[in-house]
Parts: sequence; structure tokens; C-alpha cells
Amino acid sequence: MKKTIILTIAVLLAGIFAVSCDKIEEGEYLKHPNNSQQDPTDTTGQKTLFRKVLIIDFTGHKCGNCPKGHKMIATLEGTYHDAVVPVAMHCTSTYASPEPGTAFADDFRTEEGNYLCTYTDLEGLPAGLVNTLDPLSLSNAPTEWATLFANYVNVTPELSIEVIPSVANGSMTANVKLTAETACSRKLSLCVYVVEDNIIGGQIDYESDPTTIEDYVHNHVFRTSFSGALGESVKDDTEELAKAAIIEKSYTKDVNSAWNIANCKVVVFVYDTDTKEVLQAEEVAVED
Amino acid sequence: MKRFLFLLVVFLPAIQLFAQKDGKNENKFNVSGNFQSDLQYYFEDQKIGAVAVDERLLSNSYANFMISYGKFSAGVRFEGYYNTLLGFPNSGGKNDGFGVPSYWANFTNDKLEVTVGHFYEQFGNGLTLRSYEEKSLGIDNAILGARVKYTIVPGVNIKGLVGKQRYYWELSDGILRGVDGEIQFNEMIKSLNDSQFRFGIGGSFVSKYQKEDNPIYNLPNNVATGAGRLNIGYSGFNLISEYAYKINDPSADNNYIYRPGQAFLINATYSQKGLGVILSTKWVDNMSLRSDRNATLSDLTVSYLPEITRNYTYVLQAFYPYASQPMGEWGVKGEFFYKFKKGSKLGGKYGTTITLNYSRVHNIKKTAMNDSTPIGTSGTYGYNTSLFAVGNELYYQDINVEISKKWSKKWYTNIAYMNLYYNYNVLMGTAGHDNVKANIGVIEATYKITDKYALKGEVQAMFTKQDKGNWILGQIEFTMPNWFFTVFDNWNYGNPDKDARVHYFNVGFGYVKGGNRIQLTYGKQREGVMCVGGVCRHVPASNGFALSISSTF
Repeated sequence: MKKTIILTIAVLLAGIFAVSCDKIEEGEYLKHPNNSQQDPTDTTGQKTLFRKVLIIDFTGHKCGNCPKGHKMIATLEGTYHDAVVPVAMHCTSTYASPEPGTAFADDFRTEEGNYLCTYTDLEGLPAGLVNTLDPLSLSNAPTEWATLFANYVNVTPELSIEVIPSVANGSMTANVKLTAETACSRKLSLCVYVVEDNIIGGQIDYESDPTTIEDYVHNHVFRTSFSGALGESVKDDTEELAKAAIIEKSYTKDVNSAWNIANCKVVVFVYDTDTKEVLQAEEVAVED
Repeated sequence: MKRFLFLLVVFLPAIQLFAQKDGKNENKFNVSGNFQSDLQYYFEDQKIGAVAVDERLLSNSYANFMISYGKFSAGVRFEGYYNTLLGFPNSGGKNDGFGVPSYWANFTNDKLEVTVGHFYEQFGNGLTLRSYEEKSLGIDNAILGARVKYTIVPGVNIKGLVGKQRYYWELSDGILRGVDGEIQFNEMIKSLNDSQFRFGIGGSFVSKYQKEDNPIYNLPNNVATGAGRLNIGYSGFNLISEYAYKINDPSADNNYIYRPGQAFLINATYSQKGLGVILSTKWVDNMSLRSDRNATLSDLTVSYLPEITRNYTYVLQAFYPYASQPMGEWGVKGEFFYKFKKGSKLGGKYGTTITLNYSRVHNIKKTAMNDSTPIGTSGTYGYNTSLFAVGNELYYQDINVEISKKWSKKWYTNIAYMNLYYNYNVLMGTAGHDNVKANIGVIEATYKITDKYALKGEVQAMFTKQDKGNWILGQIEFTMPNWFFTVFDNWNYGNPDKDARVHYFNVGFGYVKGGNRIQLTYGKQREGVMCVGGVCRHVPASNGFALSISSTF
């Protein structure tokens, strides 16, 4: 009798476990097959403030899994439009070193990128920081970036950013204005980067056939920073910054002849110096 | 620290209670444990790509303490990483610090075993669940929860568990629930107890719950995997087989595709005195299960795919190790072992042992769902394949011959030859690199000076035109009571880049007494990959002193 009871319990347990799985039917894999959800940037003619989200994508042109990150960013851009502010940080000697005489001749690595690579204790590519500079938040799963991104959608930003870039006499200038949208007691740091789109070059992509693509379009490629990899402090105390208070900064840097200015953008973001959370980001083309 | 104080509060009264009981019955109160600390001092060495660390010195330390009294036992584990040694999983500093990552209590009698707290577990061959610790790889995916094992009748065992996996100092998002049952007919049926024919069946089921939280994809909250296994044996022959199936599990590993996963393995062995044969095969498709769908690298693995290739111990034979490919692989392995008898022509006075092994691993055949959707596209079924469909791409192949012989009471030698093919691009996750074809030879000789003193010499050489070219390694080791001294040099003399023809020189000594061991080495370590059981980690180049202390008590 005792054995029968135990066996019955075991079978029941197995039955309970057996239904502990959820099958997703084909055709129901995507939540919004036609990007049909509400666009957070849809202002219907009236400009309103919305949170923009920085994604630093650590990548490399010889990293065959890295296009997964590029595709995820493209998917997010297709869904969230201007709310996505991507930066492609090419790094590591294994995956981003140049191969002279081939489609991989470009060296997209930079001093700032190498620094961030070490700073985040990068263990593998692709890897991404979504709206943070906290190394503990590094994610090696591009699929997770969407989940992390969604945390910030429809969140009202504490600060707004206005940036006016210009180029003259071989120099690029970025005038940045931060405005407190609510009273702010945080310590603040400001980063001002230059990224470039539409660079044609080689890329390994394990999902393509053949896996080597010689005319891959590299977007959001980090070129330089006006203020170092981690930016500079613009408010180093916890005194309250009143609502509507303004912080203005101006940066100038020589233009590198290898860059195509027509494809360059200035990316600006402000983050909490202590928590490393990015509070707002902005992206503006250098030339209209 | 609060957790530790809590444990002390819980355990100290228990210890007193056990001590009182001890005086009244036969039960014995035992305390046991072990300790290990590995420290490394790093120097910068640009020539080999070794970096200095800000801390100069890094250390990994572990200590386990266990108390037992009769049917009860309990344990606690301390770990300290100040800061984590280079090459170990750290995820930007998540692993650094000191704490009590594991604690457990257990009751065991003839039929029942109950564990609460942290535990390790494996169902069958591990295809559905393997929770284990492999500190050399930085893996510890212990489960925190409860586990019950029960023997219904001899030979009929069931076990069930529920819990969350350890993730550095925290726990995974996902909750694991699992059951496993096994019937060993030779134990269950008395008349078969002494039979040469052996027969057993088993099955396991594991379900993972993780809340779906993705704004783009519909993800399953619950993912289940199940497996059935069959073991048959007769005399020296044994056959172990297992098939596992996993329902849709979009994850970082499979790039969020929705096709189910499958794995099948067979391991047949035959042994008699002086002879052993192993034949194995494995076919795997999309069979990675983790307790967090977004986990990567070696984090939070639930399913485990046993290695199909041989684990080599000689440095140059293990230079290009194979790592299991959960997204798809087919492999086969054959191993033959024969010992020529003492006194025979080939056996000589003390006998001669010859070992042959061959393994080969391919991709599996996958076809696209349609012309416009590349294989593995996120948010799709992924691709089509069928069980046992083998692709054309060779991942790994090795052929190895090893002959060991004792020539006299003082001399022993072991020689080995290995031919290797290593798909560098797939196994290292890159492209455009030449795949490695290598020939590797090893000669080892040990001379026993006296019963207590021995000298061992070793020469290894690897010849390849790919990657970093040819290597040669020489090693001398002297052992005496309680002490050992070793020196070796691994020279990359054939590197196509003449400036990179580096000597990786190492010297070290150690003292061993009872359960205590201390070892100090100085030298350079090349950048490479280290694998245990088909799981690998990247080992960065280093230059410096390493001190290792361990103790068992």
C-alpha cells in the first residue's frame, strides 16, 4: 500500500512537471509583427520630451556573433526609432584588429574603446551596456538588450540635452546644453562622442552564407570622444540642481581626415556619476 | 556575513545537541573540511600579451566545513576573491569579494535522503540536468533549494528537486523543478542479482520557470526538457544510451529561435583483463538549457553535454582542446586499450600497454526554413534538421597512439603520437583563421633512483604550419619524500613572427604532507584555452609568481 501511494505521488508529480512548459505556436513568436505597438517617439505634431536610451555595443568586424548585436539594434530602431542611441565600440585584438590588404583593413579600434573594454572586464563579444556605464550590467546576450531597453521606455527623463555640432577649419565643435527637467541632486558626468555611419568594410557573420561579408555596412562606429571614455564631471556634489537649471559646455576637437563628416553624428549622454545610470542621451548629425 | 552569523546560531546548538547524544549512543560526531588558496602576482609582459593588474596580486580562496552525526550532516562553504584571478569568470567584478555562497543540511537513511540548502545533482548523463563544481574553470552552478531521494525498493530510485542556481553571489532568475527515476532490474529482482546480464532504465524531467520580459518576442515562461535512458550489460560488455528532448527555448545561445532541441548519445564499452574497448557517438541539436535564457559563457548551465573527445594531460596534446557545441554537433569516438602480458615478446618482463584512440566531430546538417530567412534568424523557428543528419564541416579530429612500458624496476617510459585537426574558427568563435593541422609527439621517461627518489623527464613537440607554428617543450621533475621540484620550458620556436618566438619558462617546487600541500611557481603562461569535460575557458597570458596552498582535514 505504502509503495502504491509513493508511486502514485511520483506519477502525479511527473504529470505536474509534464505540463510545466509553454509552447509558442509558429506565427506567434513576435509580439508586434508589424511594429504595431505605440511608438514612444510619436509626438503627433507636438514636440514632447521622451527618454532616449544609450546602447554601447562592444563589437568587432572579425567577430562572427557580433552582427547579432547589430541586428538587435536595428530591430530596436525599427520599433523605438529615435529613442535608440547606439554606439558601436570595436575592440579586442582577436576580433577587431585590421587585416591589411583585405576587406578587414580598417582599424575601428580607438584608445577610448580599448579603455572601456578593459574597464568593463570584457570576457567575450558581443557585449552591450544598455543605458549604463556600470561594468556589472554588461550583457553578452543581444536578445537581453531589448528587455533592458524596455525598462526605460515611457520613463520621463530627469534632464534634457540640446547639442549643436559644427565643423570649421578642420575642427569639430559641440555646444551642449543640459536642462534639469526636475530638481536633481545627483552627481552628473557628461560624455560627448563622435560616431560614424555607413562605413563599408568586412564583417564576419555566422548567420550569413558565406560568413564573410566584404561590403558590410558598419553603423554607429565610435570615432572619438571630446571628453575621454568616461566623460567629465559636470556636477560633482549632491546639492540640488533646481528645475530648469542649465549646464552648458563647449568642446572642440580636430577632425580626422579618415572620417566622412557627412556620415558623422555627435552622441551626448549624461549619467549619474555614482550609480552610472545614463539619465538621458541625444544624437545629432554633424551636418544637416 | 549576516548569513554566516545565522549559520553559527543554527549550528552551534546543534553541535551541543549532537555532543550530548554522543555520550548515549554509538553515533560519532565528525568535523571535516578542506581549504585552498591560489594567489598570483602579475608582471606586465608585452611580448606575450600579459598584463599587470592594478592590485598586483590576485587570489581565489575556498574553504569547506562539514559536520556529521549519524544520519545527519551539514556544511558551509566560504569563498574569497580579492580580486578574482585573471581568466576566471568575473563579469565585470561580479565575482570579487568574500562570503558564504553555499550552506546545506542533509538527512540520510537506508531509503531516504533529504537535502536542503545548496546541492549538486546530475540526472542520467547530464543531458537534462547537471549541477556541478569545476573550480579550475570557475564553474559552480549549485542549486539552492530542496532535494529528496527515495529508494522505493532496492534498485528502484526516484529523486526530485526544486531550487535556483547560484550566479556568482546571487541566484539565477529562473526556478528549476526536476524529477528523475531509475530502475536497475538486477537489484530489484532477486533472481537476477548475480546474473551476468544487466539491465536498467531511467528517465528524467526538468522544467525551468523564468518570467517572460521581452518587448519584442513572445517567450515561454516555462521550458521543459525530458530524457530517457537505457543501460544494458553482459559480462564485460556495457551499453549506455540516452535521448533528450527540449521544448522551444529561445535563448541567447540559440539567438531566440523557437525550434525544439534534441540530443542522443550512446557509449558502448567492453573490458576484460588486459583489454578495453570504448565506442561512443553523440548527436546534438539546440540542446543548451540554462536557468536564465540570457546567460552566456559558462554561466547558469543546466543541461550538460558529455565530451566525445579524449581529455589529454600532456600540455601540447591539450593545446587545442575541443569544446562541446550545444547548437549542433555529431561526434564519434573509438578507444582501444591492450596490455601485452608479462613475459611475452612484446610485453617483456613487466608488460607493455598500448592505447589507440580516434575521435571525429562534425557540424549537423541544417537547412533554411525558406529562401528569405537565413538559418538561425531571431524570432523564427530557426532551421530544419533531422535526427542524425550530419553536416560536411569538420570541427575536430584526433588520432592518438600511446605506448607505455616499464623496462625495469627503475625505468618506465611513455611515448605518444597524435595527429590533430582543429576547426579554429568554429571552436574559437572567429573567422578567417586557418584551421589547425598538427602532429604532436611526446616522450616521457621516469627513473626511480631509489624507492623514494625519482626523476622524470619529458619532451613534447608540436609541428604545425598554422596558428602560432611549431612548439617544443622540455620538462624535468624530481620527487622525494614530501617534496617535488619541476622546471619546464615551452618554446614557440616556429612562430611565423620571429619576434614572437618566446620561451615560456617555468620553475617551481612543492611540499606535500598528509592532506596539506603548498606549491610555489614562477613563470610565463601562454594565452590559451583550458577545457574540462567539454567545457572551456579562455586563459589569458600571464607572467608572475603563483602560490597554491591546500589542506584537507
